[in-house]
Amino acid sequence: MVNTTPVLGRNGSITISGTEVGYVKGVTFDLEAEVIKEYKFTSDLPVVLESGNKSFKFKFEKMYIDTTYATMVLNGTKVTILLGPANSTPTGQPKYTLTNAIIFHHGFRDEQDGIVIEEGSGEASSLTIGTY
Amino acid sequence: MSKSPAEKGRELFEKQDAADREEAKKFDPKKILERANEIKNVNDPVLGEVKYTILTTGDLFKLDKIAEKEERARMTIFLLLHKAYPNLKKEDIDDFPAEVTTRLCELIADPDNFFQIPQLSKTGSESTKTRSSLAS
Repeated sequence: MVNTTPVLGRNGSITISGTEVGYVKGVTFDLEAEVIKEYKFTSDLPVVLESGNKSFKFKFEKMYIDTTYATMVLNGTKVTILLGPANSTPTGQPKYTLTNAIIFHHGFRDEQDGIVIEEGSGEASSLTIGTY
Repeated sequence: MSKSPAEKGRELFEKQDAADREEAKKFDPKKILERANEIKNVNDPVLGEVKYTILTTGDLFKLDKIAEKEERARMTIFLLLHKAYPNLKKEDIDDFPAEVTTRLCELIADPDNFFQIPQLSKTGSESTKTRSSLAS
């Protein structure tokens, strides 16, 4: 039977060098990998078919960054985005970590104690899928 | 004890989402009229991106007066498309290739395409009350 309860939330925390600096909501991944494909004469089948250079792009609905770190993030400081489980019992649940992420394509507005970026996107150097 | 940035952000977004939900529940004729003129689109594998606006009450009255089946189909297509394509005339529909008109009629016949009626969320909004429970 299919479990219809999502175990992975699309919300998560943002850290810089291990310090929590904000919160993100509605993250979706847009991963890409180049295709390496080579053919040889006398065959229409590829002799080499490999996954090549990868990129780890993502989009998000809203991101909150604490005022202290807002300028750093807007200027391109790399952050780590940790997406946790949707429920409150994380043990054994999936944990998605986007490392060295930069945020681009954003407009932002001021809020008390921080800024909010809406409908933004970014790119990370890697995505790790683990468990709590 | 002060809240962490993640907690502050989560609380802020939850508060904003709750305010948005409350705003969406309010009946606002101005917003409804804006929605009637909003250009929408259906992505069809055969025809590509088809832009349209939803039918208004006035459109339905017009269609209701048309007895002939073919004329009603022609008018339905025209009323759906004409705001999105201002240069389109009703007579132009007759010059559309037959397969295009046929496909448009197929799209119109599928309620998922042009006539999406918002449903109450089973998890979010309060369920619609039945007539009998309202009376009691």
